[in-house]
Amino acid sequence: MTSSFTKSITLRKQVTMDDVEFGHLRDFIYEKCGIYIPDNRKYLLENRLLNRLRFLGLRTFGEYFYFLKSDQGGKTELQALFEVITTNETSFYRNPAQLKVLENGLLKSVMDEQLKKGSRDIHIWSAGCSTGEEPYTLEIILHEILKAQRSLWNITIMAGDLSEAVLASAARGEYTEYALRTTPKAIIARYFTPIGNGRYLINPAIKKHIFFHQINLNDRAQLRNIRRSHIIFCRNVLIYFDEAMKKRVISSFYDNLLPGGYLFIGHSESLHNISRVFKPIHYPSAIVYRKEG
Amino acid sequence: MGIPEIFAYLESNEPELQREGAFMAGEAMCREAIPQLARLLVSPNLGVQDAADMSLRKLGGKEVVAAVIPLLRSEDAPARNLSMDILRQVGHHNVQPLIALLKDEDPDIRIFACDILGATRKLRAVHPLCDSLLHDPEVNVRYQAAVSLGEIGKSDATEALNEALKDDDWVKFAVIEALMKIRDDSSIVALLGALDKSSELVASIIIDALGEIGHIKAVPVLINYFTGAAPVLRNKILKAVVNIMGTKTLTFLSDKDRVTFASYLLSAVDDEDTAVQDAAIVGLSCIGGEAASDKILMLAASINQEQEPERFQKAINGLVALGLTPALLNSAGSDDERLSKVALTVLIHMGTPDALQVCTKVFWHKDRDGQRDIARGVGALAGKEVKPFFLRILRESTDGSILKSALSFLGIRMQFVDVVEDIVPFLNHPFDDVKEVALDACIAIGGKSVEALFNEMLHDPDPFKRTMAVYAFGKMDVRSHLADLEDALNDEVADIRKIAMEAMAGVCGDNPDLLSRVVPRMINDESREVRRSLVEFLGSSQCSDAVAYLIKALSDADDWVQIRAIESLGTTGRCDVIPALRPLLTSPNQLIRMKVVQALGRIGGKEAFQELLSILDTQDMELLEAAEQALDLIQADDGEVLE
Ligand SMILES: C[S@@+](CC[C@H](N)C(=O)[O-])C[C@H]1O[C@@H](n2cnc3c(N)ncnc32)[C@H](O)[C@@H]1O
Repeated sequence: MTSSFTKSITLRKQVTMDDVEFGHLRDFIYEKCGIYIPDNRKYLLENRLLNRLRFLGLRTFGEYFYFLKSDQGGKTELQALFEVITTNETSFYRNPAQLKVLENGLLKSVMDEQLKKGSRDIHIWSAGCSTGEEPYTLEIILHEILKAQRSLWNITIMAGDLSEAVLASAARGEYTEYALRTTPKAIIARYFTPIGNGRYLINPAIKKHIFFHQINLNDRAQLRNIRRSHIIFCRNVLIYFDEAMKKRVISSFYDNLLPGGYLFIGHSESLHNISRVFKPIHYPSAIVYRKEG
Repeated sequence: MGIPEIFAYLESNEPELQREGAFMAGEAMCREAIPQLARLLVSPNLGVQDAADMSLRKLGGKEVVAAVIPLLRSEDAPARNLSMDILRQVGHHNVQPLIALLKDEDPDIRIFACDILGATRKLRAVHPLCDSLLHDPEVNVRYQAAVSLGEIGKSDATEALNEALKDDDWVKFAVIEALMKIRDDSSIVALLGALDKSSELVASIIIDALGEIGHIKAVPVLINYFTGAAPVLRNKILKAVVNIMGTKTLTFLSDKDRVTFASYLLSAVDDEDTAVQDAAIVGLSCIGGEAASDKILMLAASINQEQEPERFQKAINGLVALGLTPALLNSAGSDDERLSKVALTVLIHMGTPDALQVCTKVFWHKDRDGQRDIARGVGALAGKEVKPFFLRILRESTDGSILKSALSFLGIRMQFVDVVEDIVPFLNHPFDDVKEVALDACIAIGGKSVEALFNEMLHDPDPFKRTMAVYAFGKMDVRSHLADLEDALNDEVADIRKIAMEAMAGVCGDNPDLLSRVVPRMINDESREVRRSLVEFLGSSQCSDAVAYLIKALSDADDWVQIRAIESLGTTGRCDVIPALRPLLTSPNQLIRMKVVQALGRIGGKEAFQELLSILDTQDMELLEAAEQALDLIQADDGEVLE
């Protein structure tokens, strides 16, 4: 019998992270996934990793660093580390102003372009999808717009994230009321089934066209293998990267987008000083980036 | 990809291939491609431009500077901007051709050149820029030269900048900013001299600059200037003086001036400029008084603490300096949440018994967050007079955080013996963190009754209770509970055995009897946590038998048990353990290999030295480095092994 209480109490001295250890871990994390941890976040990293140290029975952060690099637990521990350092805050219908742009014409114009080419294929990529609220919202929007015609289209959504834990949760498709706080009541009624205790299950029809997959935006080779998209959503992810990483990621998105494709980034994010490859298109309360072609 | 392929891509008609080629050229550091890349900067395709841009920046060097300069003359504005931007980044690799552009016929080019030279931060650019500042016929060039001199920030430029204070207002703005950035003594004199001769607008910028530079020399001049100054300038002067003098602002003033100054400060709190407000707070906090207190409280309540933590803190500091004013006391009890939060923060910062007493009085009328702040603040600072307050919390509050503050004050900080009974029920609290504080509180208080309590818990069927008791005995007097702890080593719960092991580690390393009773049993414990604690315990042991057990632990199934054993063997300093360590030098776990190397360094002596020499041909760079360090260590400690 064990519990968090009996696990956590110990007679050992509390470990702290010194600056050298912080430097090593910071560089390691940056190299692995492009997330840059500024100095003033050291205490956060220390605090969150302390549980890992306890769990693994390690005495110092230096040992933890070694463990990460080792062939023995390193690979699995890397996922645990990703879980610790990523911020997964998200919700259904996050930033409706941007979604309105999609609903009010952008999607239609992409579809028209495809029809002109005699195709009914559209590919959407949600990069940094966290627990799935964003890609599910996109699929719900497709249903809302297309209604019965949804099945006449071959629209797929690739939803990728660094952290396997959030992907597992996304695949379950079970949410609390809190995740639905900005979702219209009618949408909840149509696409979710309440399962008690303030929890909801997303309808299987919405899950059908979404493919969840583990992805590291810092891995250019991996990104090259992603099928080319008409629309990319990468909202509230770039903020965790430094400028060089942002440039790399944006450049990969450019390569992945088909000519005429669109990129959505977070509402408070901007490509200013990052890249000029995209043409910004200004809507009343949102900016969307287009790849000219 | 080789150079010919890169060129084939760059010369293709397909934008996607050109983009790919441009990236490749950068990745392969292919300098031959620089002219071609520069041509692609004007490609109609943004993706191609972007790739060429990134690669040129990556390549850098004087060839890039030379290849990109001609684009400054391009008719195409985006191309011009792009080349400017690249030159700003790589221009320092070759400033000479950029300096030459300062004499170009085209004034636009001269402006670009000034701009780029500023971004290079090169000392070599300073004199040519000074020359442009003083002699260029075009006002915009002179302006940009001043901006760039400020960016470079070298005092070599001050003489020319001081001279340029005679130029027209447009240039003057930039000159003043530049002087401010350079912060040279001689610029202060020049700025003060220019004050009287300047328009209101320029004067206001000079005043800001003087405040920013922060040299005391400026203060008397500013104060003299104050009375005659236009009203719009007064708040700026107040700010500058306060910025320079801080809390000593008033020492400069005569009694009469002080009264006037105070009334100006009061109205300056309402200035639109938040920097003026902040300065007024500092000024008012030295003057004091009810009016000052009221004003600052209102201002502080209007600041959003999350968004502007520093400003909020300044206001709080100002209020702390003003002391327990009636305005503060009223605000503490106010229903206005923000105002009351400010007042409580101030009172807790003061930390005096009077101030804290006020907090405890209003506690029960506050919301949860307010209560948490008070409990935490009072608990950390107050003395025994607040005991009844915290006892009431234990009885009436249900919030974990507030309860922890109370438990920690009563038990850990004050160690009141008579509150044990009030604390004990919290050992069963549903929140783990509350339990933990309650436990530490009991331990801190200690004494016979606490000991009796833990004795009872030690035999409780509930493993939680047993965990707590073992932990407590480990923290308290281990020696007198040795038998109990030894019993706990048999507990069915691994976590309990582990804590017991940790507790024993501190004291029984020097007891051979105990060692021979405990170790043979525990070294095969099914829990690796327990075995890890055991090896640590052995490491602290003085008994000669311990070494034999440590050597046995080297073949444990758990890597970390092995590692702890290696570390401990390293500290014994005995060279007879080297043969046992040797096989682990080929362990698949790199950390184990590293630890062995470090242990050898610590053991020292000829044999360890030889062992370390033999691994110097390893391919593993990190291991090699560790081995070299270990060798250095041995040489430093023990010079003769070399002979
Ligand atoms: C704040 S969430 C954003 C979720 C969603 N896009 C939204 O806007 O609500 C950021 C997500 O980015 C993911 N992330 C961070 N670094 C990543 C990387 N290098 N590769 C892939 N995903 C990453 C995190 O795991 C996290 O789930």
